[in-house]
Amino acid sequence: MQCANLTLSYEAKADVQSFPIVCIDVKNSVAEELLWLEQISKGESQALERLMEKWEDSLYRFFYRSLSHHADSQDLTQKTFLRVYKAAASYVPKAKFSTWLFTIARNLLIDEIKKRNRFKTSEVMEETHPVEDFGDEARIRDWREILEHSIRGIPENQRTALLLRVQQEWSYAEIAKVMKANEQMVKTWIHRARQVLKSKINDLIARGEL
Amino acid sequence: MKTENKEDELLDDFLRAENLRNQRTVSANEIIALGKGSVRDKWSRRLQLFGPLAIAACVTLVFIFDFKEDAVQRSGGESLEETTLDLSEAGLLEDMMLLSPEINEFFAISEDSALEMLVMLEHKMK
Repeated sequence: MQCANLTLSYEAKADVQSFPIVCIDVKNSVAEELLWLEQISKGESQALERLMEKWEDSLYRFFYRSLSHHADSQDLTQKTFLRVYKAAASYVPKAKFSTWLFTIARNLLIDEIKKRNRFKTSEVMEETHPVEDFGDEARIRDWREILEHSIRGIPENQRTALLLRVQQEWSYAEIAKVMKANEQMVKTWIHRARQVLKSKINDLIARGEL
Repeated sequence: MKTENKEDELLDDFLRAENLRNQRTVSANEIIALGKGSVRDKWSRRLQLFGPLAIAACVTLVFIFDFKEDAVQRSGGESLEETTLDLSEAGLLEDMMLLSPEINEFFAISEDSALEMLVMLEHKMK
């Protein structure tokens, strides 16, 4: 019963059959991160190391898909952990740790976007990922670049909602919590973002680039 | 998450970007050092900003307090028992108290009356 309550409160996505397993995972994960945060607040670097190992790629992907800039994404990932370290002592587990983590990440992302808009360097400073990371075929790199460009053109709220949905596989309720919006708005944002990107993919297919 | 068609699948693969990995440039120790440093910086910035303000506020308070005390003393706020006048001051005060009614009366009378008085005094002196 305690387990079921915990799962429900964190809105874990699971069907009836896998329910107990998912429930245990969520419970362990929550307990693990709470323990790490307590240790981090005492200045234990090993706990922060573990937390970073677990979350750095997720954060980096989130930032990279939003900014298409390798160094900035690295920098924001690092800043997120810095904020986690500073706030670890005052952390109150009101929601899932990941909700808190991505709230911090999103705030940093918004600050970065504002900074970019102020200095108007978005086009000049954009950096593409090395070719070898996407494979050897130049055309694959091209369609990815086209999509990267398209995703940057989407409003931040639509893009973030879509990324949290696809990358983190969050429920609409969880996304709404991070974005301080209601579920219906989140659904609309995701739908709009998908429409834009899918139409771009359709164009690429029609041109024979995909 | 289930995908509906090819476009959705392509899009989700692209968004997940599972081939991307963070190439970490700082360790947990460095982040902790940065965190401690920024906390120290924050306090030193606060000290730099509020230190002079606090000193100025203290000086102002001391000045106001001192000024108030002085004003109370001047306005006779202190008791009569505490008031001590030396002999010369007491004599001066006595003279002033004696003189002031005469002066007041002198200035209170009209110019004609004053002239008449002067004439009478002259007459008497002769």
